[in-house]
Formats: sequence, structure tokens, C-alpha cells
Amino acid sequence: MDPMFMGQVMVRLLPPLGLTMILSITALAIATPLGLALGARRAELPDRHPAARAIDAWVFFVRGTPILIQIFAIYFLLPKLGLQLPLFIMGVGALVLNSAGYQIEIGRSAVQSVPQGQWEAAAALGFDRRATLRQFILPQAARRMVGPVMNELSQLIKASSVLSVITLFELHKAAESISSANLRFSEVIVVEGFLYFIFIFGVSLIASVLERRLSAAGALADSGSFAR
Amino acid sequence: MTLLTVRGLGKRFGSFTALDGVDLDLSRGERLVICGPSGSGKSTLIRCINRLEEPDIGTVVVEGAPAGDLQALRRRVGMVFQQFNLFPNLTARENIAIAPRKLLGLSRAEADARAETLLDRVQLAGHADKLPSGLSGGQQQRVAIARALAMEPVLMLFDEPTSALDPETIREVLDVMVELGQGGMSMIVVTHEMGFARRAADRIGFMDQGRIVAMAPPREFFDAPPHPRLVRFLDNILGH
Amino acid sequence: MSFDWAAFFEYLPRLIRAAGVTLQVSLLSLGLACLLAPALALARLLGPAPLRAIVQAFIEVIRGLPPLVVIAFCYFALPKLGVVLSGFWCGVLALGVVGAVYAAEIIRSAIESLGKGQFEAALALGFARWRAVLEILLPQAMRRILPPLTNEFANLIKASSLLSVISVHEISQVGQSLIFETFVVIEILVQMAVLYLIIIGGVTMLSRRLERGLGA
Repeated sequence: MDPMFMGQVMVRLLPPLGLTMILSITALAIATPLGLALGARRAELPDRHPAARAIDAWVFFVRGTPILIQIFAIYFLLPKLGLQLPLFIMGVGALVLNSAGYQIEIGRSAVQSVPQGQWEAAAALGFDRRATLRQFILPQAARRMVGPVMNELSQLIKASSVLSVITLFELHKAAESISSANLRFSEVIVVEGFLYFIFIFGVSLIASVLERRLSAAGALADSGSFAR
Repeated sequence: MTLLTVRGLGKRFGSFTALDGVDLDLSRGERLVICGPSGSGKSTLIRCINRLEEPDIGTVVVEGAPAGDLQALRRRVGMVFQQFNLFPNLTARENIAIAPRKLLGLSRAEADARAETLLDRVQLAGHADKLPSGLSGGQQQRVAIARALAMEPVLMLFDEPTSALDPETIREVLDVMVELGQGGMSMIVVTHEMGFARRAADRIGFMDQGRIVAMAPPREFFDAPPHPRLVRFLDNILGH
Repeated sequence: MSFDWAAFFEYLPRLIRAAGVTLQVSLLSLGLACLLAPALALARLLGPAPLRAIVQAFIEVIRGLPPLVVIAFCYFALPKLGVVLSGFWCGVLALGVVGAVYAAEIIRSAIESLGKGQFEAALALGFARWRAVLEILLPQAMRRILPPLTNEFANLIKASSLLSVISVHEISQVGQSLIFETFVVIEILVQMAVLYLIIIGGVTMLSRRLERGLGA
């Protein structure tokens, strides 16, 4: 193991690492509100409703197939449908498709976990359903989602590595191309693994800290201080 | 014959001293009750005897169990817990039979037979196939006693065995314990049940702040308490 | 655009065979994980402090890496350390280790959630600590372990798709080559997706049946 070499590898991997983070964070930024919105909607719909069925089908597909298949679906299908999108957009699209599918469940259970009393208090005050959601329910649901969403970010960083298969030059693809050029696999993998690890582990640490801070503040809502 | 010798036992939890130098001797067949205010170290004392807690200083010697052989010690000493701690996924019979089968090498038939005999002894014949969730607190505790007896211990430790029970069921458990003692079992019972102590104990010990401050046979213990703290304790606990 | 049924049936046999490989790899790595996980969980629960620290570090590292990196490590780095395995067995090893790590955490937290009482009761009866965990607590914890564990198995099956990058002829690899060779896209994609949905759906159904059996 040559530290000098590994240092050079790390420097060369920083830009692709940047791409990995941009891919993951962009996908999260789109998929989380999408998941929350669809999850909240799904929570109110009866199971037979066509929109509910569509949402359930999406979730079923995303959870029942590997992300690689979902990436293939976008990569191979879209050109066939006449859409020539840049690789980056397809990558983010696949990640969003996947992450939103999981976050619908996160959003739904977060909304359903807000105590019924909150809805009733708002209604008694005269707020309609949409306003109640916007003013009171979604903010509280969002607080409960922090932990799972941070976990989702970790998952996205890991999932972004699969985009290497469609030759997107993120961290894993870059590491792969370096090591296949100089055949020093072990050293490159150690550097690559180290970079992934500090980000993924770092995200979960931030998640636990945030969760602790927010649950201290959020305890108020459960004690029913709203209702009269 | 001395069954149990405890010398200079000390145990701290952080800054709290649970045991502050305890000496104790127990003879074969002797029944000792230990009482005292909460925090006095009673539970810690008996948990140190079967090493569920590790003492910081001092020695515990059980006759027949060489020092250092933890499994041999625990096979000679049985324990009954305040919260029963039955294994929820096993029937009464299985709860009693599992340790003899897995630790003493009894066959399933032998272990089951032993379990049936013990269930009889604790007045629970016919409940062998019930899960703990289908038994009352008093019944569960009796199964727990049978489970401990199944290992044929020479010493039984009881850690507030009736504190978690409904008043109606306390009696049935105490009766089993009295009968056990009359049959010659050596036992140490941590309890607040003074009626039981008066009936069944050979000696009663009173603990306060980690030390045994008084030890006497029942008559002297209740009629002429040898320590001012004990006087106050008995006033509180008996004088409602 | 119409669905080319002729193409669909022409490539189906190859994909079904590939599904067999997917199943083989998944089951073997599940087996490896089931052997490793209790050992890791026991080490975390009962081991001396240095062992606990090492095992925890190992678990955190594996959990903090994309599975592709673990697979790449087994395939490219291990040979440099003298361990040369075929793609298939690299896959089994990599997925087995990753699965074991997640399963170990599931087992450990399920056992911890049982509380101290039963553990102490088993100790008081004379069970050694590791026997108390394996023979008394683990069976009791099964009901809490099985649902998340089946979810992990489903994840394992999904992760097997990644073995396509090391040329294991499982569903994704075969499907991808077929698409590149024949330019038949939708029909093959549909087959791949359906095969995975059947396998994973089957696993989920099996787990629900198992859960019901345990709940009895």
C-alpha cells in the first residue's frame, strides 16, 4: 500500500465524488417533496381509487425490482420513445423514480402518525382540509420524516454507484477506470471505500443528531397543547 | 454445616454504594429472610450470591461449588425473580424442563416427567401445557419456583417473589415457599411479607444502607428489635 | 408500438435459466449470512470489549459502503491477497457478508428488545451466556426478527443484480446482453421485471406465511 499513490488517487476521485453527491442530493431534493405529497395524498385515498392504485403500482414496482432494472428501464426505454436525454438527467431520473417509491411510504406513515387531535383542532378552528395539511399536518409530518429521509440519502449515495453501469462518471465508475488502467485494485478500492464511507457514515451521524434535536422540540405537538 | 459463606461483600454502582461490607453465613436447611428499606442492598446481596452482579470486593463461597466455576455455582443455587421471568414462548412444562434437558443432559421424557412432578408439587398439575400468558401472576411465579427446583439446587434465592403479585395470589406462592422450607430446603428470601417471615424464617436479617445491621430469630426480631433503625422500619411496615 | 410476443418467447428460456442463477446465488448467500449473522450478533452482545469494538467497526464499515464496492473488493482486491474466487462465488461471499451484517443488527436489536429478565432467568438456571442467547433468547426473538429479515433477503435478491458487473449470468446480466445484442428492449425488460417481481413477491408471501406460523 503506497500512501503517496493513494493520496493521488483520492485527489483524482474528488470530482467524481462531487458528481455522486450532486446526483444524490438532487434526487433527494426532488424525491422527498414528491414522496411526502404523494404519501399524504395516498393516506387520504380509499384503496380502490385509481390514483391510489397507480401509486401502489409504482411502489410495488420500485420495491419489487432491483434499482438496476429501473435504471435500465430509463436508459433503454426513453430513447425508444424518442427521448434523448443527457446521461445526468437519466441518472437523476432513475434515482428519483426509485427514491420517491420508498418515500411515499415514509410520507404516508409520517402523515398518519400525526395525532388525529391535530386535524380535529384545526377543523374546529375553521381550517379546511388543504389548509390544515399545509399549516399544521405537513410541518409535523416533515419533522417525523427527518430520520428516514437522512437514511434515504445514505441509500441514494449507495444507489448512485449503480449508475456506473450506464457509464455515468460518478465515484465508482471513476475508481473502476483508474484501477483497470493501473491494475492497483486494492489500493484504489480502499480509497474509494473510504470516500463512500465518510459520506454515508457522516450522513447517518447527522441524522441521529438532527433526530435528537427535533424530537425534543417536536414533543409539544403530541401533548395536545393545541386543543382547547 | 455451612452452606454459604459471604465475607466483606462490597458493590458500588457509579457513586452509589449498594453493599458496604456484608458478612453472612447460612447453614444447610436454614431459612433466612432479609428485609429492609428500598435501596438497602437486599436485592444486590442475593444477586451477588449467584453472581448476576459481580461484587467489587469480598467473597462468596457456596459449599460444593469451587471458586471460578460459575456454571457449577448457578446449578447449585436457584433463583426466583420478582418479575417471574418465565420464557414466554414456552409452556409451563417446557419452562421447567428446558434447563434439565439442555444443561443436565436429561432426555425429553425424563425432563418432562420431572416437570410434571414439580408442577404437582406447586399445585399446578393440569396447567402443564399453558403458556405464561395464560396463567395468573401467582401461577406464573409458582411455575418459576418449579423451574428453579428442576435443577435440584441446594440453595434457593427469592428476590421479592410476591411484590409484583395481586394480594389474592400472594398467599398461594407463600404457601409453596413455606412447604419448601419445611421440607429442608436452604433458602434466602428478600421480602416485605412479615407474616411469612414470622411463620417460616429461622432468622431474619435487616439491611440498611448496604449493611446487615440486625440479625435475629423471628421472636426476638419482632418483639425486641435489636437496632433503632429496625424499630422504625417495623413501626412503618407493621403499624398501619 | 406493439408488443413483440415472438421475441418475448424466444428469449424467455434464457432468462428463466438466468433466474435460476439468481436464485442460486441468493440462497447461497442467504445461507452464508445465516451462519455469520448469529456469530456477529453474539460477539456484539457478549464479547469482550475489544472484540465488540472490532465487530461493530466491521459492521459499520460494511453498512457504510455501496454493495457494488464490496462486490468489487471481493472480485478485484481479494485475488491480490491470494484469494481467487469465480464471479459466482465472489458474489456469494460479498452478498453473504453484506447480508450477514444487516441481519446481525436485526438479531442484536431484537434480542436486546427482549429485556434483561429472561436473560437473567436463563443465567440463574445455569446457562452460559452464549447458550442463554442462542437457546433461550433467539427462539423467543424470532417473531421480531423474521419480518425485517425477510426484507433483507429481498434486498439480497435485488443486490444479486449487481453481480452482472462481474459477469455472473443472472437475470440482469443476461437481460442486458440480450438487449445489446438484439435491440429488443421492451419485451426483455418486461421479462426481467416480471421475473424479479415473482421471485421477490414469492419471498414476501412466504415470509407472511412463516410469520403466521410463528404467531400461533
